[in-house]
Amino acid sequence: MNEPARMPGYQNTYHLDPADTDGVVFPAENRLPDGYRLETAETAVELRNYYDTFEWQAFDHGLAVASVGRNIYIYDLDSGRRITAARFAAPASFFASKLPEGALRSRLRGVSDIRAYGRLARIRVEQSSWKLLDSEEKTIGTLWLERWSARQREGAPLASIISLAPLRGYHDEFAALATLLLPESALPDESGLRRPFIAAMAAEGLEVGGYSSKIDLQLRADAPIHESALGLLRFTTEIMRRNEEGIRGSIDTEFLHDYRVSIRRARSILAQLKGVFPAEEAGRCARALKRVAAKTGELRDTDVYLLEEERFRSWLPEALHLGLDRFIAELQRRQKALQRSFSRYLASEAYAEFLREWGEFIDESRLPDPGQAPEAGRPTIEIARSSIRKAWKKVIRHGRRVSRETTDEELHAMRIDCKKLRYLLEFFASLFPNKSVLPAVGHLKRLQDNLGGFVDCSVQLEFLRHHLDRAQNRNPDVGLAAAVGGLMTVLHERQEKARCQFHKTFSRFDSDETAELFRNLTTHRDRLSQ
Amino acid sequence: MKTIAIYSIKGGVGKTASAVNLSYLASLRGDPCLLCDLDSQGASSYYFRISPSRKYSSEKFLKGKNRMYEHIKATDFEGLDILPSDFSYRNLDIELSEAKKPQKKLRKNLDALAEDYRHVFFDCPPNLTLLSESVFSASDIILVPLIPTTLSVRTYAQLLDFFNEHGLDRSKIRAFFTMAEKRKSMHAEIIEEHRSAPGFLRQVVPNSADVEKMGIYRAPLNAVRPNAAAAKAYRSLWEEIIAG
Repeated sequence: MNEPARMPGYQNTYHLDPADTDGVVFPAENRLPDGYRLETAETAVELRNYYDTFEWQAFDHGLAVASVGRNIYIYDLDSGRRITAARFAAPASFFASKLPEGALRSRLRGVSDIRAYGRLARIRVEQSSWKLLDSEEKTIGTLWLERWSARQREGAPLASIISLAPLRGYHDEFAALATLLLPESALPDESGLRRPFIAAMAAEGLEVGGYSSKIDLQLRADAPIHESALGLLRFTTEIMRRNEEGIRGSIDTEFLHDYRVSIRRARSILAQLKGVFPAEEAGRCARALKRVAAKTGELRDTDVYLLEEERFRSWLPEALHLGLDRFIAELQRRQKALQRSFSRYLASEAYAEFLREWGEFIDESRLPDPGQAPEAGRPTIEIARSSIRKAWKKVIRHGRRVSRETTDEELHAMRIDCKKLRYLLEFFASLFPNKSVLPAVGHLKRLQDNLGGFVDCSVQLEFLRHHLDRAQNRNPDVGLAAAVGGLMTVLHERQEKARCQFHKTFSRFDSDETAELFRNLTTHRDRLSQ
Repeated sequence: MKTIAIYSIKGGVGKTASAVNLSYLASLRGDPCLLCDLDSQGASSYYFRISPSRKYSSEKFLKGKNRMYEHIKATDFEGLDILPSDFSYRNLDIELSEAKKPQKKLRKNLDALAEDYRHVFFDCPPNLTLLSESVFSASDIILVPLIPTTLSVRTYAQLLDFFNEHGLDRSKIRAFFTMAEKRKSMHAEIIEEHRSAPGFLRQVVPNSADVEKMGIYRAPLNAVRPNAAAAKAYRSLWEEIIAG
């Protein structure tokens, strides 16, 4: 109700050239017809600290989040108006769950619960507003003028924005009058607050929407695969490097997650594209990547546990909650220690040395000697097709061979096969039309969800079993052990459920329809582009 | 959504002043609130400076959410909207008499607003018609302002009779005294006699020049003079109402 809805066909926001606002008369009250007048409503200067997640999720949802003093606000990027507010002295970064109960909190939790909101830029906003009154002295709407300037460089203007906020039931009347009040130099801005927001972030050296862990790289079908593979490796390395700071700052768990995914992707490229790089070098690099990844395994497992805390709690009867609390407390201590240790590693000479060697490998653009890397010069599209076909056939072949018992080993292996296929589809997605890749990914994803569910349970079971073993050697804590036992029971049940569903899920994947999709994708046929 | 009717058989008992101030107080808590001005004299709309436009008919009122939506106007107070009188009343009675289940028709229309408003107030016309009946059945609470005089209290008894005759739920009715004058011993006696009776609210709104001046301010008294005695009385009255 209080949300300033953007009216269809109605322009709410205008911008003025920021350098050019001094000579501009706004609002031009003398142009109003008889019976109407303006009343100055508010002039204020405030310092806004804008926040968003590392992935700019609030922006993607059409929102801007800013703290002003001890309050925090959500703004609608379309209209520029505040949507909701809460009392909250925002620190440099915070999670939505830490906000006081209310509309603002549920809104931000909806945007992202898992990622932290970090402070990005401090903007000085000079705000003036006028109410437009009719002959009954009834307000029919408000006009706002905001001048934004960068805090860092005193006074440097970033943007001037005019926004119009008609009151409900007065849109037409207000819109007609507001047009008279606007200066000629005001340009309608369909983007609402987005333009000034992007400018404000740029002034701080930040690129809005500049981070996503998704592979977003346009490959050329006829380029040598060696060149394309290097491009992909540089891309994943860039993602890896950009997450280091967030890991060291312990901002949220997704930095480490994205970091690990990029390492896995890089390893997958090296392992799956055989003959593209000299085997010895590629092998050395793959092992180095594996060693780095191995240092993060337990830390990630611990993170996952802490993220699942509420779900775990819901599985256990209240009698075991105290034990769970102690278990969680132990994990938190462990997580801190692991986080510190890995952060130290990231700052170490050993890591710098790894990066140097790895950097040399991915910066070497010359085609390797055909004797050592016979496939390096082949067109990317050919390798893409053949490697996807090979990986898909492997999934089918292995899947059909899985026994009726569906053992742990079989399912673990299946999961890895699927993941390899998934990565290949992602690496080469830019070479194929969306309509042929997306359905293939969709079919595969359903199978992966089943296998992922199974493996997650078994990894967690293993983690808990290990924890119990270790606990035995120290002071045994019966409550904690009981809670862990309770969790293991539920996990075991879920694992068995996933196991039971494998054959059904797989037979759906192993269908004529999926086969057709993959055949089309991996066969060179011009009719596809018809 | 809670629906609250302000009703009196007799005019001039502070009904509209109560509707305006109570709906304003309800909106102050941050919950969106709608005041439906069903009184053809349009006093509530006047208090919010909303001038009537004659384009609309009662037929539209009954056609449901979208039609109703178009005619809702924001007041100058955040979270408080109004459905102006011009469109909502005039021929509602005739329209209702043609509807299949007139008593339930209004309720059904209102359900569509439930997502948007926490409280909906009706400023009712001072008579007993099909519209009144429809409002009674659509309301969760029926507030009945009474001047502490024998005549006024008699109209209250008439209302109770009407409820009995028509099989309406009497327990929704909450009467309260308005325009009470301390110096008049009859006022004091009547208040003393009734305020503890079942169905009566304890809070009394005093007679005050401030309330009369609302026609000059053209705004809720609680917005303009929150510390006036009558404004304080309305605040306590509202607290008593929501406390159940």
